[in-house]
Amino acid sequence: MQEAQERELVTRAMVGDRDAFGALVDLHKRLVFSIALKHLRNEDEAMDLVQDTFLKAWTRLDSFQPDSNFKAWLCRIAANGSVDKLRRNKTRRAEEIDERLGHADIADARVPAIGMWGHSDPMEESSRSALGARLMAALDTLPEAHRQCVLLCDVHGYSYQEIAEELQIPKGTVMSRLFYARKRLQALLEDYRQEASRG
Amino acid sequence: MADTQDLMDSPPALSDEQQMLLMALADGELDGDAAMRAEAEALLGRHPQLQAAIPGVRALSAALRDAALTPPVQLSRASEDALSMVRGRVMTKLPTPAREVVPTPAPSWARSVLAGFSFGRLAFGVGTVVAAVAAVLALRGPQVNDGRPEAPIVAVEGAVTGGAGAGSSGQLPAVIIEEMEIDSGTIVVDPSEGEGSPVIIWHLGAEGGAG
Repeated sequence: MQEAQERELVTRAMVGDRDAFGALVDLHKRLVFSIALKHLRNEDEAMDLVQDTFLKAWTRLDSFQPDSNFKAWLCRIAANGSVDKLRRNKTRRAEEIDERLGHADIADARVPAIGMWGHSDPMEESSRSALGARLMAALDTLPEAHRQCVLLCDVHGYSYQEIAEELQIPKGTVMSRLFYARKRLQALLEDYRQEASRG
Repeated sequence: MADTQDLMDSPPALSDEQQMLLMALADGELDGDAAMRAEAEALLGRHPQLQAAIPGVRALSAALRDAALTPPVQLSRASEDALSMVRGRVMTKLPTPAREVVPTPAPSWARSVLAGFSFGRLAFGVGTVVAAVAAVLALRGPQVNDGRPEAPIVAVEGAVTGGAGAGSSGQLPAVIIEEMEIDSGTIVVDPSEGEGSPVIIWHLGAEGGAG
């Protein structure tokens, strides 16, 4: 759908047009589901979150800035809802185990230094979709606490401070988790990078 | 000086803290922190080859964003089925938005009761009176969902009246619902004469105080 059409639907929804909002639901439900699934890794919970996201969006439409990106705004609601859901689900013990496992994996991985894979810009040399699939698979191997930081920062554009507030952890912890998560991703994608560089 | 030259010729062995600093620089997180930014830039000054790390971090971020924001082409059958019902489920749960225009200030519960009654000009044909009342009763159902007890409609009163010029034009007489009593108050309809047909304006008020 064209951006102008989406903008018109948003404008109509903002003045209470339920049909227009319904069209927006149809337009973005797959994306919202996808976002929720990447955070939650559970289809049933993700599906519940899709509904919650759109219901929240409807009640918060007053706060949406018409000249901003509706899709990004919706994704943020989905991300926040996912984090809230995870927080509710999580037990203290599970979190501690996850955290320990995460750091142990990384310590054993002997990953390369930061940023050493991006110089040759492998995206220009290989299929973006193939890279995307590899990235998502790699993302799934991260400890949950690290994955949330990466999703919020890299996918949804949160600042470190915003992540700290959302996850209720110190900003230094955010930086640390992001750093180790990205190193881990780079390590997991190292063979891909080398293939792309050779290709 | 010799040490510095060595570092320039081979990848520098940076501590995690130094790498985190560069990562924060790449993420634009040091824009508001002059001291940290200066420290990061000094590090880059000492090791210019690390400049390559900055676009590397950004490329990884961009690739992640692209991948994550691309909906999956194929979902499981169960997910496809569930997604096909999302719109219907969402629409049945949509609360009446507070921004909907109501002629006079009214509490939110009252607006919920009146969900669907935002029409401004209506006249009911005699033959549709029963249907109209049924619609009123139906609207009390799932849309009244704001935590307050439901407000049963105690009575609906109306008058059969001819709209302006109804008799001469052969139009059916119209029925105007003038008042609806619910257990929490009274909803009164104020008819006022329009040019061609009665104009119905909804007013809400506390019991006995509406007008």
